[in-house]
Amino acid sequence: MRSRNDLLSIVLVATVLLVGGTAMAGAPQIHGMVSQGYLSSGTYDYLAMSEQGTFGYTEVALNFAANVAPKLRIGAQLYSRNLGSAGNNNVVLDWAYGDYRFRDALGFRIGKVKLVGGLYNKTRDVDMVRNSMFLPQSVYAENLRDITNSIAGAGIYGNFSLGSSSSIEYELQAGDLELDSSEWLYRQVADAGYPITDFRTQTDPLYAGSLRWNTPLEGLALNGTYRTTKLFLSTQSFLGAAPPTMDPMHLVSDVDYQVDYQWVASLEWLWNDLTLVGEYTRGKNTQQISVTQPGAPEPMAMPEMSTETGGYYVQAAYRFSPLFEFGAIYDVFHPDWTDKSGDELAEAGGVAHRNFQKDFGLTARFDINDWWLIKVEGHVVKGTALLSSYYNPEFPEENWNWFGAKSTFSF
Amino acid sequence: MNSTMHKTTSLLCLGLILVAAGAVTAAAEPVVIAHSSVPGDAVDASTLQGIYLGKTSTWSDGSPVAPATIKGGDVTDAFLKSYVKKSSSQFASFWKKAVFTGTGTPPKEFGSDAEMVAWVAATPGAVGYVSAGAATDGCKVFAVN
Repeated sequence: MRSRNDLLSIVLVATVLLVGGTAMAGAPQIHGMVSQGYLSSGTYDYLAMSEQGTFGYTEVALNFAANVAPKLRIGAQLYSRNLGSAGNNNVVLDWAYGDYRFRDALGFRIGKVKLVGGLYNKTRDVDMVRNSMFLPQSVYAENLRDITNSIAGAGIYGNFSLGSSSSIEYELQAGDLELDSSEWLYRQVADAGYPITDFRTQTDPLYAGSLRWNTPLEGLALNGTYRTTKLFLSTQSFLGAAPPTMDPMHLVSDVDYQVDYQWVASLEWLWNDLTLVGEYTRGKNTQQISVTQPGAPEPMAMPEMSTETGGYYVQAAYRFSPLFEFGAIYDVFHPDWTDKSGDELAEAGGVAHRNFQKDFGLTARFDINDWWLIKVEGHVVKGTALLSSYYNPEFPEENWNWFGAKSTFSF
Repeated sequence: MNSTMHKTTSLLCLGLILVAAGAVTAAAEPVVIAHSSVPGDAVDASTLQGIYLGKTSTWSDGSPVAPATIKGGDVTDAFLKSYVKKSSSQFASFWKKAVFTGTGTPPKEFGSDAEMVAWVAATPGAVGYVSAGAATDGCKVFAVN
């Protein structure tokens, strides 16, 4: 139903743009893309049922935009993806907002806006602008895409020239995550092992900001982003294996999940045909879980848990010709920054390599023409921190690998 | 004797290569042009870069800018490298990011110097570039500081 509403919304927006835009200042612009990927992995399933090889990775986007007045621009994008069990080719309203640019140093965007995060969160779906199929997972985890893509709210942005090709760009945002559209979140909760019979979410506003310095050194930019929010999840589960002291029936779990902070520090250097990028991220999350059995007078509160996460990557790509670009990446993520080796997790009975993931990959991009590109890449990985137990019930091996290919058409 | 002749021949060849390279560079050297309504006779390099990256949206008198490019070719490569500080592929990627996140519309694109000149001459606020030696009838030739 939600997809249907989104589809109606975008048809309405498109109609307004096509009819109204033509009558006003600028002619409406229409752009789109279609991507088809292939994933194959060894030892584990990665993002999809990939161990046997899968074409279950499709992305489609269609957007409209028009300058309806000298300083006012409106637009929207319809987006659909299928990646394993995520997306299922449902059509959603990816972004849709009005953008009033009062002056170059101060503009406003109101609507469903792309969320800042690192250098590339806002462009994570734009396959044509990067060398690899996926963005580095330490900063842009693919299984978080649905809840970190955009917010419904508003933002201000602008830029200041500092002369000598140097400038400052900023953006501040506030709004709500659309958790109810996140199949991922439902799956993560369900993945805990109990069938979910009811699931509700609520969020406090998310606040985010970014600051970018385009330095006087040609092509070198430094960037910083920050996000914070609080989520409330309420699930009703059927416990098949409840502790002996509990009634093994329906049980309500309430989770207060606080994203205390999530920041990313970034460096990007475009030097002739060479692109060098490094990003470092840290985050802190606090969650408080309380459980209520049917008929119980009071919920039972679990101890508050706090987790510090972190990761970093370095990536290089060199364009040898208009047709061919080659790249390499080293990407590291730790879901528990205080136990990077996983030793404490192992002592507690867990699997040590669930606390780290170190991915080295080689990537190749072929630009057949302005509208068609093909990517091919291979990765060797040590650790399983970002593998989902939804696809992998056990994690017996520390080392694994994956291969991918992707074709994207755009206009 | 042979050694002297060999050195002379080598120097001549090197000179010819340099002259040829210089000729190519001169042909590709972009000349920045603007509509006659655009204020001033010169633009500073950082403003020109801001215009082509969508960061600068108005001229000094507050009128809107309207940038344009020529599709491909040495003159475009030279213009982008000299004034926008990006390669052609980096420039294309930059604007694809803007298009697919709704933050901007790329400069209008033309197929030749003549098309560019005709559009700039007829469009208030327009700015573009052509190859050195190309006719710029009806346009203001801009110096870049």
